[in-house]
Amino acid sequence: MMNEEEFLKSKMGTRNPFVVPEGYFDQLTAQVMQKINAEEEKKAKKAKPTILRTLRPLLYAAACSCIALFGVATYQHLNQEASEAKDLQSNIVVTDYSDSYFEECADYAMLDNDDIYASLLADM
Amino acid sequence: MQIDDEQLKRLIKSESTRSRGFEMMVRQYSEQLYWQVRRIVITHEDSNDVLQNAFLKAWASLDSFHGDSKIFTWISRIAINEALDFVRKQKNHALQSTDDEDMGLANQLMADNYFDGDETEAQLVEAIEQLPDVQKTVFKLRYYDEMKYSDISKILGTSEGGLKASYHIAVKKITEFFKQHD
Repeated sequence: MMNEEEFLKSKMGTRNPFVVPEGYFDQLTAQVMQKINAEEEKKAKKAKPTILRTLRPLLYAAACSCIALFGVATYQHLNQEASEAKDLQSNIVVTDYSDSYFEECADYAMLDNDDIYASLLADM
Repeated sequence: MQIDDEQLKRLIKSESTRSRGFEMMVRQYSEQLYWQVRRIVITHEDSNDVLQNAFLKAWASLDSFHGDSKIFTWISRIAINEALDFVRKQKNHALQSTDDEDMGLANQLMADNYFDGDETEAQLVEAIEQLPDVQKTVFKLRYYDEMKYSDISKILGTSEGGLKASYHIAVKKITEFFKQHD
């Protein structure tokens, strides 16, 4: 093998047929370091905790609590209104029936209008 | 100005001087590393990309360098692996390509602005490229870079005995090439 290797060396020698652009190696180090610095800056920005990033979970929790409170308050308010409306309606029904009910009572007691007026004047 | 290995290792080890030390390492070894990469990757543009990526990887993995080997051995391993990965991906992409044009490497080199050789030299590069992967790589690293078999073994994960055998076969084949072209 040594002869073959020596044969190759005599044929190929140390000639390098590949070339590079002029000044390539002069600017290579600066280019590499520039890329490395850019990577480091990117890493530093990613790792830096902003105030917003730190508070974000708290803000989410606060927002959820507000929405829940608003929901409960709205439900209670609507509930109260519905119950008040129901009461009012039952009052109106009672008032609506009061005149006819009163007349029925008067007929049942065989009272005429003169007797009713006299009774009312006696109370005064 | 050449800086000795121990001094470079001290600079790189310390957080405060790491960047300066790395820059010195790049300045000191980038040309030698470039030619190792270029012989594997062939074109200048690809070699430039591969080499710069290798330096970025080296920077990112500085913490894993414990100084148990020479700095050049360590960075060379990263650069060569980066070059071999690039060629593997390129080969896979070529297999998937539907491009019917087959220019031949020698013809491509003759048309390349960054190839200064004659036709025989272009054909020699093509002959080396046609060797099987391990023969091709060990030939380039041993013949051109005079790399130790032990270092090549660590890069390729092949036994030193296997590498010696591969190198012997590669030398025979390249010798045949010259005998045919004489």
